[in-house]
Amino acid sequence: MNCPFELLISRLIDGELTGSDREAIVDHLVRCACCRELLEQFQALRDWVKGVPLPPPETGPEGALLRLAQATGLSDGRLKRIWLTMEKWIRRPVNAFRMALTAGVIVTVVLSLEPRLCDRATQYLHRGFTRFLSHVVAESPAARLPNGS
Amino acid sequence: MDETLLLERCRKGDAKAWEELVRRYWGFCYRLSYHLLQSREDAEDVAQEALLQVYRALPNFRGDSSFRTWLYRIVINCCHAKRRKEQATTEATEEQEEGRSANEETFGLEGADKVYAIRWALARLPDDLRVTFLLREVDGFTYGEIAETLGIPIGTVESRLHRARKQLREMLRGLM
Repeated sequence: MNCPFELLISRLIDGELTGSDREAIVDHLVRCACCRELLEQFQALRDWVKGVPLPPPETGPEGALLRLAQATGLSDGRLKRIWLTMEKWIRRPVNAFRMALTAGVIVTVVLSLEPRLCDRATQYLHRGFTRFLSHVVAESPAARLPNGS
Repeated sequence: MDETLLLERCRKGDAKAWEELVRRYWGFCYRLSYHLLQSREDAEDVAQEALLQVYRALPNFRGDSSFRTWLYRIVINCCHAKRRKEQATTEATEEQEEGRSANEETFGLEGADKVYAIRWALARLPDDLRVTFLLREVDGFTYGEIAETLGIPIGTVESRLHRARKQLREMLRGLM
């Protein structure tokens, strides 16, 4: 369809037509079924596009405020609080992971250098645990009771 | 708070005013960036970058145009910069474009979710038509505001809007 009034349909639904142009297209729409259909489709498109949801943001305006505070130093008490909260969320798991990784690396290196250490460490642990248990049993109230009572 | 007063306070470095400005305009920046880049991560990044640029350039903003059109111009420039940067780092762009053309021919809208179909159609509009269409339909800009934001004549706004609608209608004919 190449109706000469086509271009005016966009202007009509955008509210950009006034006076004689507007009257002309309104008169034309009464007579032209193609242009009426086009008008309806353009209006439907508008409704559809407005109804398209956006994916929820991850950080939202808080992320923008943090970036602004970091990049410019612009900050008041509230921004600082936001930053400290976010930093805590980031810092805690990162530190925990770093410590676990370091401990794992140290243990692996030591055990790979001297395999007998592994057995010895197990023996020490076993001995220590047995001593601890016997100490607990000896100090328990049942153990302090006189025989036969 | 009135926008002029808010901008005045921002110029003076008032942190609370900046917070209000960011909260007021972040959603607009995110929405436009998302529609242009089709990626949540990129859109968030661009929205942050645009507001940072606003912070740096606000002392030079003389108010010849409205703040909203000025901000949107910055967002659009940031989107273009982001895309250029990504195209420079990935060599797969041409392949993606080829895949996109192939999809256009084979994609069937019958039974497709309407929201998905509209996103699909919007993503395939040329950039100039898409941004003009979105400024009008989503942000409610007048032809004059769009012309000011994009630096084009009002006649071009009019023809771009019409072409965008006709192309979308063609792509979404299965839903019409």
